Amino acid sequence: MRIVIAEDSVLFREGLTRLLQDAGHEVVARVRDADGLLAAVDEHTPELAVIDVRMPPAFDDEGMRAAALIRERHRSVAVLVLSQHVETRHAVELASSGGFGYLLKDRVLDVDDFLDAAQRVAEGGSALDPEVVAMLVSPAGRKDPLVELTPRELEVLGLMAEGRTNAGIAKRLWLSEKTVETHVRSILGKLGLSASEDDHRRVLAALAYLRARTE
Amino acid sequence: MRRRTALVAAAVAAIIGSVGSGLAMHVVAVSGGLAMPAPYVVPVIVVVGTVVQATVGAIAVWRQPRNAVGWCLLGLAAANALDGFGSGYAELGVLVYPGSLPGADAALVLPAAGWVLVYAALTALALVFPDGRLPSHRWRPAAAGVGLATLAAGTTVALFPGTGNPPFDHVQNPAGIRQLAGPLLPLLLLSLASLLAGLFVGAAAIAVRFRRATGVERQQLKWLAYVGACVPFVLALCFFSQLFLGGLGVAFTVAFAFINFAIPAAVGIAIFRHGLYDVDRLINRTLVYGTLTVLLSVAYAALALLLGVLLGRGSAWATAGATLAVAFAFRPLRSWVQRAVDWRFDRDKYEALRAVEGFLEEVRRGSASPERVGEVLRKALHDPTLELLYWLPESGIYVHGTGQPVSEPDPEEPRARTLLEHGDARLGLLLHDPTLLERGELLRSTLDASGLAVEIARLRVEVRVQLAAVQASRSRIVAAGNEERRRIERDLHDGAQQRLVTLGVALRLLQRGLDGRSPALRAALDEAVGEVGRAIADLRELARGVRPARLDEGLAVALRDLARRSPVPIELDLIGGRLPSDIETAAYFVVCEALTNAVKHARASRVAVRTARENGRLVIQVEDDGIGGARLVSGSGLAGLADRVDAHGGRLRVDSRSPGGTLVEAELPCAS
Repeated sequence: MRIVIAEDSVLFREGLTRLLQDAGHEVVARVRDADGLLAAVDEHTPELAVIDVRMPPAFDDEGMRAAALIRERHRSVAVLVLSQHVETRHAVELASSGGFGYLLKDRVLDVDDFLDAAQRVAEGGSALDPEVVAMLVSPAGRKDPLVELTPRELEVLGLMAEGRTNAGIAKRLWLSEKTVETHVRSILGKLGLSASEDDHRRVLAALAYLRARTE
Repeated sequence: MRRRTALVAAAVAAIIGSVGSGLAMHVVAVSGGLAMPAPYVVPVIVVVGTVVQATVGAIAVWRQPRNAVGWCLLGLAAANALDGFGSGYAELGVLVYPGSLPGADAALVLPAAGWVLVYAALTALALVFPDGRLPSHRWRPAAAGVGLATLAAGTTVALFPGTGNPPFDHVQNPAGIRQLAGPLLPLLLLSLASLLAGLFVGAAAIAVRFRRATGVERQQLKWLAYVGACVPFVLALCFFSQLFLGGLGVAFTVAFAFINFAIPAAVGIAIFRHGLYDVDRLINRTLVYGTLTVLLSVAYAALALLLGVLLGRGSAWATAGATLAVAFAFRPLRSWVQRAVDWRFDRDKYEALRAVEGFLEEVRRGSASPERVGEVLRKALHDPTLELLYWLPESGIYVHGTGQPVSEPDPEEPRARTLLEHGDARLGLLLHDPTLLERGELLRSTLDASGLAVEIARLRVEVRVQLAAVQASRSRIVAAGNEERRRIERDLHDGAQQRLVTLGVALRLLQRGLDGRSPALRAALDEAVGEVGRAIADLRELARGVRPARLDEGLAVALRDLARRSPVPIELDLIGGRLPSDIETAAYFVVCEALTNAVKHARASRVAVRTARENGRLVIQVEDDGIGGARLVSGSGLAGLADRVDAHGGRLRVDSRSPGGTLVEAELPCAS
């Protein structure tokens, strides 16, 4: 796929570019700040933009704001935001509408998983860092419906929230896809969510549910 | 202008020259054998008094040329100069060296004429004081009458045949016309009586003016009236003392000196308005001490007499007893007389002092705070605009009672300013209605009475201001510390951590480049990347300890993250919404430290963390079910926490029953 990379550190940008190219992707533009990013996206309309949260000039959350802007302007351009530390502001919200991913930078080192997440996001799915998900799936009180989930179900729910498909979850937990499907149905039932057949849709519904809990 | 200056200078020179040469001639006459008791006392008084009158008069004329008061004083000085010069000349030429000076016996007329002019000048002064004009045009006939009487008296004195006063009682008036002695005598008596009456007319003019005067003019009149009123008392006192001391001369001399100096002094103060408002105090003190003197004297005399009868006349015990009694009576009697005088003559002051004393008593009892002194003064002085400002010597500024600094003085400020001092130390500044200045005695004694309260209030305000400054600086230091933590946290993420990630990516690229060759190297590279990942995790943990980045998302988010990482289950009950960043940071570390305490030391199995908002304060509670025993001892983590909370103007409480768990409760101000 065609990718735009926005990252101010030259070495990391080059490394990332080569990883993506090695995986058969085409990196159409590499920029170092938010303005350059928006211009490159307008020009190339890529399938995916990989964006660093902190970029010049203020090194605050320019990347995140640019990501939101891109999702607003170009529905077809998926966004994968990389950060040095967990910051959930806007991340969950963006992720639950699909076509968006939020990962810690060092997840890149787990190359296959990272490429998988990039692929998922570009296809309209989501990717949320396990650190963020851990916050989302921790029960907030005795009345929380999450209390009723079994530990295994909680685990499955967490992986769902990370954006993984049933196949991805099965691979991860060394289970058969069928078992995973059973767990997923049970979870959706306990949380009162409608059981859609589409993997991505179910993930997004679960995310939206989890997000609503924390607000 | 220049001509008048020259004229005044010439007049002063002539006056001082004549009176000086008169004294010189008197000295020569005395050394030449003129016999008289205390030969220098009166002439010296005349000379010094004349110089004072001429100087004050000249300055008055120079400063206010249109005001006749200065000229009246110059006239008084000239009359005295005539007297002095004539006396000296006649003493030398008639008594000591007869025939040595031309017209020496004719000079004898000068002292007599001089006395007439002294009366005339004093009357004129009383009539035109302080503005140089008559009180109204209806006073013109009276003024004309005084002028006529002066002229008549001068003429008849000059022409009346007779001998002089001692020591000239054997010298005939050379200008005297013997044939006119009969007709002149009634005229002389009449004109002298008129002159004397003129003094009463002058007194009446002052009284009339005083009744309708306000403000400055009233104070000016008070000065002259005060001196004028003193004259009969001084005379009476002198005559009274003469009964004991003997000799009319002494009484006369004292009264004479008083008139010579006190009148120009009073006129000078009134005209130049220097210390104008001290007159109330002076009158008040005079009344108090005059009354006190009379009372104590009577008491002394009565006691001495009584004890004398009891113990035998001439007994030293009688004197000693009376003295002791009077000495003991002095202080209570003085304050009693002071109150009586205030009550009778200055009701406002009496009541103001009562109010201030009542307040001081309340302050002593602790039922009123000294800072209320401004309010008390406002009521006592009946001035709702009054405001008391306190002086802070260290910063060199005035502040309100609240500690708020006073902004630059308003040039339009209509209120008068009175400086408050205690010894040499400045206490504050009183802004008040300018008309209070006319009640100088009321203002000053009320301020004197409230001085202690003002001083205490000032110290308290000063301490408060300093404390506030220290607190502000402490919270600035804490804020700077927080900012520093935030910077370090960022540096860790964006510096070292970024490099490690880049290094990891480089290793991965290297590994991919191997393309299935050398599996041992691949495994080693996996190991290396794993190590890099752990280093990154460590670094992230370190950064979180410095300052959790999630605090940027709010206290609740950061606390939820903290709770999730905790090894013991944590029950959260948190409020949402954002607070000032420093407060959120402080609150976060309170929970952090309390959790550490609960997990490490108290061996807790459950912890509850609650945040709530109460009356503009954030309340944070961390309660565990551990073994308790936590205390706020210095050096402990909890004590450091207490300092941190304190720096934000908050409060930390540790309630730790052993056994039975620990409750750490912090309150932080969060007005928003």
